[in-house]
Amino acid sequence: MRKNFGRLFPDSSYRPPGLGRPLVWLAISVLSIGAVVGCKGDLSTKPRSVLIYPARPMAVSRDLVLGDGSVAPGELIREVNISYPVDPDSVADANEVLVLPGEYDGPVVVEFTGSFALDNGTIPVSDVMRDGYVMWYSDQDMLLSRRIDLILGDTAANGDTHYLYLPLEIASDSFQVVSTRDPGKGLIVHWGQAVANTLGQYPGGSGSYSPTCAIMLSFLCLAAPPHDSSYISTTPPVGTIRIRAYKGSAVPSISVSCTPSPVERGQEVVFSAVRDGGGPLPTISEWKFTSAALSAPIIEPTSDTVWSGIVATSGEVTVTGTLDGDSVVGNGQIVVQARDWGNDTVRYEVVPKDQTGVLPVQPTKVGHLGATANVGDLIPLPEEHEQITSGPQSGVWYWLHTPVQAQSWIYINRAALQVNSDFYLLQPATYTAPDSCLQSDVLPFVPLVEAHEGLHLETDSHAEVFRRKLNELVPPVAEPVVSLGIPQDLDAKTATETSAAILQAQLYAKDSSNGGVVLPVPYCYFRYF
Amino acid sequence: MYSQMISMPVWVTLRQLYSITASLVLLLAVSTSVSAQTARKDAPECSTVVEGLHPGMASASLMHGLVNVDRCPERGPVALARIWEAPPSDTAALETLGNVTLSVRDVRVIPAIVKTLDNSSMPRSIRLAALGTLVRLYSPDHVVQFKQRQGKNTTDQIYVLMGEWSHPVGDDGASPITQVDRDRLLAVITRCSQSNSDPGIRSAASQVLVRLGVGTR
Repeated sequence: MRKNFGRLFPDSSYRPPGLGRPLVWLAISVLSIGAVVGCKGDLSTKPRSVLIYPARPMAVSRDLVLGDGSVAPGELIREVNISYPVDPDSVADANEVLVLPGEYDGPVVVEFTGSFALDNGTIPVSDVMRDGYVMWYSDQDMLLSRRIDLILGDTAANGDTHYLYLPLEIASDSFQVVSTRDPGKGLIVHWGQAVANTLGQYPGGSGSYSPTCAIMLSFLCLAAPPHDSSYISTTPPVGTIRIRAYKGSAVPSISVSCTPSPVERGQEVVFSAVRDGGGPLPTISEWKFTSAALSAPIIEPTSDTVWSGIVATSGEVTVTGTLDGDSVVGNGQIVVQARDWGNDTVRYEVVPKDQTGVLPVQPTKVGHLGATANVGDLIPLPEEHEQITSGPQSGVWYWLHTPVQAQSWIYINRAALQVNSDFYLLQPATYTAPDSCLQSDVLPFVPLVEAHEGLHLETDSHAEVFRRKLNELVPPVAEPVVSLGIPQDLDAKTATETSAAILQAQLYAKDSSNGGVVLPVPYCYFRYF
Repeated sequence: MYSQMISMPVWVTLRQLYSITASLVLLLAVSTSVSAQTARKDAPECSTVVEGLHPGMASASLMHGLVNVDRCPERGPVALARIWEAPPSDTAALETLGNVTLSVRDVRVIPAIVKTLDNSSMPRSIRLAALGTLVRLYSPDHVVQFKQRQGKNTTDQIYVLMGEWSHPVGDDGASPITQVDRDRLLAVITRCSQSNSDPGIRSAASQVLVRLGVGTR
């Protein structure tokens, strides 16, 4: 198991290589003695700096990228081996040339290999090269920190050097970075080490001083590690790093072009396998389309460099083949956009229904004078869906039109709302009280009931509100649904999407007193008993 | 629903206030008395109504005879149960029978409808009408209709057309359906979705359960 020997400055910044020199460190140490009390005081009143690994994202250099296989190492230019610890009394740091200015302008693959051994663990070279990485160890009960510097830099002929941070995110004993530089520039690696003593014994015991702030470096305070042996080695780090610089050469690759993209659902696209950078076309063996909307990839073994057909859903295209004898894989993407279904409405009709069993001949409340049942569901007609039969999305089902059918069943209590019915005769013939209905008010109420229910789709009726809300909610959720296989799968997926929209429209079209938006009809009061 | 215009006078005299208070007390007493009753009573004409209903009667006669069953919460469900044991075959009469059954929602009619649902010798349309009526007895806010898919790529699949009322309709019978009865109804529908002899009916029941929010597709 790897140990947490290393820690990061909580807010470290790049330290120029010159800071690795012994005299500089001596000066820093002297200054630190005077500054540590203030630093400790700060820590006691503020939240202690948290040295969680990694403390902050690495600065990604615009000139260095981790090797991703797109550039292969070719001819070896130079190899450097650096061993630690370095005797600080002889030499603390130096620059090693990997590529001389003007020697080679192409991409350089730099390979770092090695690790550092401590008493109970190892630290891979990738961790050591993280910005601000410090290893802790104890020597004769004194806590010491050791910082290893391995920094790449590009150099101009006049010696100007631009140092490059490594965008490291993984722990590895060996890794490659690719350097692309301006023409005429070389490449160096700066190496060095910095050793600093802490201000007391470690681990802390009775009468000993347990440092909470070990080093004052400029305005940075490097907090001591926890009093835990897993963080502290009893031996200094020892290791050798091998650095190799290779001429990089681009690996032949292919990609997929898609025309047009984006494309509207139901239209044809053409995928073409092309060689990156131009040149002879690859030899293709297979095309594959994958999409999160489909239950399985669509694979077509073929030697065609073009794959075309109607598409219904977005996804990724992968082409496999060979290029100059090497196996290659190219990728592309198709973005499918929704069709405008603003006029592709739900199939809808108003259905007048017989009142028997729903509205009693002798009503006992106003709700017995009329009612509407708004129904709807996924009931597709055969011509409303289509299956793609060839190309990248062969076998995919999609909708050509909104596959939902809806009806408003309208019930009017005509048995009660007629002359000489029991209900009619229950009403007074002449004036009795303000707001009370008379027999003469019975028949005029019929068109008001019809308009409220929406027998002729009157505005803001139960029926009209339902249809309007359906057409607002349902087509957008049905339009993008696709499936692979049998049409029943398309139905099932679509029903899941549309049922919520239909229910929402049904609730919306209820009476305002029943959770919907349809307002009551202002009228006089009928008698029911 | 239709509200009726209210035009309250702005000024209310002390005498009117007393009158209103007395009316409210009376109304409270009456409503308490009404709520204490467990069920509605049959209308006087119910003897004639139920005697006019016979199993196996012609659809036209049946539809005519069903008109006033909603006024018979005591004897109506018993007569309806007899009809459900030998229901009509035409869809209009079946729809009316279902609606009337919902107008006197009563636990006594359920066994006959379940028997029809489970009777594999009955036509599918009748068994689906039985299923739809059981669904509405379980959830009176809902309406349901079943449709068979037509055209190319057809299978035995039945589509469910389901919806909700603009406001509550129907009423309870003399033996209203309790929560325990609803649980049993749900169990019947669930069993139907799993083991009915007709795969189309099983599918329809499954879709209904999903729409009721108690099943998965």
